[in-house]
Amino acid sequence: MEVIEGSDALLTEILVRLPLRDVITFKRVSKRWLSLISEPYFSRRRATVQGTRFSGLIVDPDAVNPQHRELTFFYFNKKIRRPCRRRRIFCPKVPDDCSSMLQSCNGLMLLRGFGDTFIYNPTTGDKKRLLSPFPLFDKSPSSEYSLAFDPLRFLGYKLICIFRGKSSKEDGYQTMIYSSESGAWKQCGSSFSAPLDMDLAHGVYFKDSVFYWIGNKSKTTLRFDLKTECVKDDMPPLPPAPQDLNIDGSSYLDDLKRPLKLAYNGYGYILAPACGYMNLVGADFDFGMRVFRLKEDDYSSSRSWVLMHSFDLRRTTLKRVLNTDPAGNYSILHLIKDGEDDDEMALFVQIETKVIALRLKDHTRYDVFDFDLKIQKNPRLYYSSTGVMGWYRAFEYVESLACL
Amino acid sequence: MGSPVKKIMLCSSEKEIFSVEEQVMVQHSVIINNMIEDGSYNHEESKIPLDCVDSKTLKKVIDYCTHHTHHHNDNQEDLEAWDAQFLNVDSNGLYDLLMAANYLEIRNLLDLIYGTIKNMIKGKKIDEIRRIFNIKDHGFTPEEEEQNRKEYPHFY
Repeated sequence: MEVIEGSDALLTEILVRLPLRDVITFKRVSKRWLSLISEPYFSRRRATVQGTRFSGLIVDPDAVNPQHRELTFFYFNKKIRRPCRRRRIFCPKVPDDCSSMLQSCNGLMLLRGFGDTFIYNPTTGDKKRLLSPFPLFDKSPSSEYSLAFDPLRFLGYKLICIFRGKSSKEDGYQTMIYSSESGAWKQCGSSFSAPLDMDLAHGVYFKDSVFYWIGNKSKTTLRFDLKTECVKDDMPPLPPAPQDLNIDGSSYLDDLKRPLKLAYNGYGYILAPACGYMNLVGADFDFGMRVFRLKEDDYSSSRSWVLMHSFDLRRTTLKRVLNTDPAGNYSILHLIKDGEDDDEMALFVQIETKVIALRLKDHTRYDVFDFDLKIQKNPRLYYSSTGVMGWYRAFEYVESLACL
Repeated sequence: MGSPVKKIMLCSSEKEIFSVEEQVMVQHSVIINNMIEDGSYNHEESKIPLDCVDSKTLKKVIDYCTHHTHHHNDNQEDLEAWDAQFLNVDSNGLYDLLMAANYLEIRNLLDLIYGTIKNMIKGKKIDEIRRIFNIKDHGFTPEEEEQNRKEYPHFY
């Protein structure tokens, strides 16, 4: 056995076969075991050997009232979905002192606590307070953070901090970047301007080392290039909402009934990476859904949003389920790859206590998850965010043993 | 009568020659399969030298491959029982088999051995693991070790 212990390759082959519980325990056997287990290779090898990608969705049923928080988790894989409630299968948890979840990125999460922001690994339970980019004496301006963690592309993780420049001359936003490799913040490039509605709180990391932010009203998207470390405004505008094409249709009174609808000009978009593409899901807060995909023209290298799917939820197999709720409320939680083909995706829709996957290809559905009885007592909670706004309370979980 | 069964020669570290059905080894060992396919093995005169595999281990490896070739239609339970019996060896024997399977790239045998070792350490406490692998220097500072023991007493 000592000989096996002496070989990194042999030891790794044995450790990747263990259940997650043991792996987490054995990180404390020795420094060497700890470093082997923390390698990005370890997680990849473990997923290959065990034949499953351990990923799922952490849902915050009520993002508005953190004191009533009852987080729920389920795996995407049908085989491990059910036993998750039993103790045998590992179930990630979010720490008690987390007041809101900001972002999840390939296995690491960005969480806000009561007073500070931290990086969290939901697999190992390790957490680390974010080092503030501003000196203590500086009453720092309001700032937003985004996280990039992509072990297949770069070492460690990176954070972006966006804040408003204080000097009157520079009206725009400024960016700082942190890398866990260097352990320090540094200022990047020149300042940039963004439309007022730009949602800088919900950065989306996507491959090719880029962050995206979206402004629903101004129909713009900004991106931050991690290679050149600057914000670029070279994205195509968001596609017009259907009612923009037919302006007479919307009435002011109709908008008043749904304040969210007003805020988002009646049409909400969210950025949804899936199948190795950046996608865009649009909903009109009634039942109309559209899914676009960002495509790059090989010759001109210009990008555009290409419409992939357009449908009315009431005309899909969700019709019967939608009818059980008198208000017809639904919430879009997530978009995943569903099938071999890159075009095959499924949209996770929450209706009452059920999470249902709607296959975009043929509009068939399958049940994914049913929320716990305890939450059912207060069904109004789910609809604190309807339509695409439900997106920001569902976070993808990916197993990762990365150190912070 | 069918055509005679093709055989290949394997030579252990003690220079003992083992004659095995070609099909048996080709099916299981990636390395031998490659040698036969690229023509580097000559049936008239070649022997495959396995300098890091001793006769005792090589005999076991051949047993494994032969059994799994001729009994692959057996029901799963019987095969598993046979495997369990086959791996009922001491830890040195297990290690020798592991090295041989690794060298010859016999994937099912590797999986079987890795799985067996995994089962030996599954659910164990840290102190037991350190004993099994004879880890004297864990590399943590006394403070880190104390902190870990305090924070996760059930792990030890």
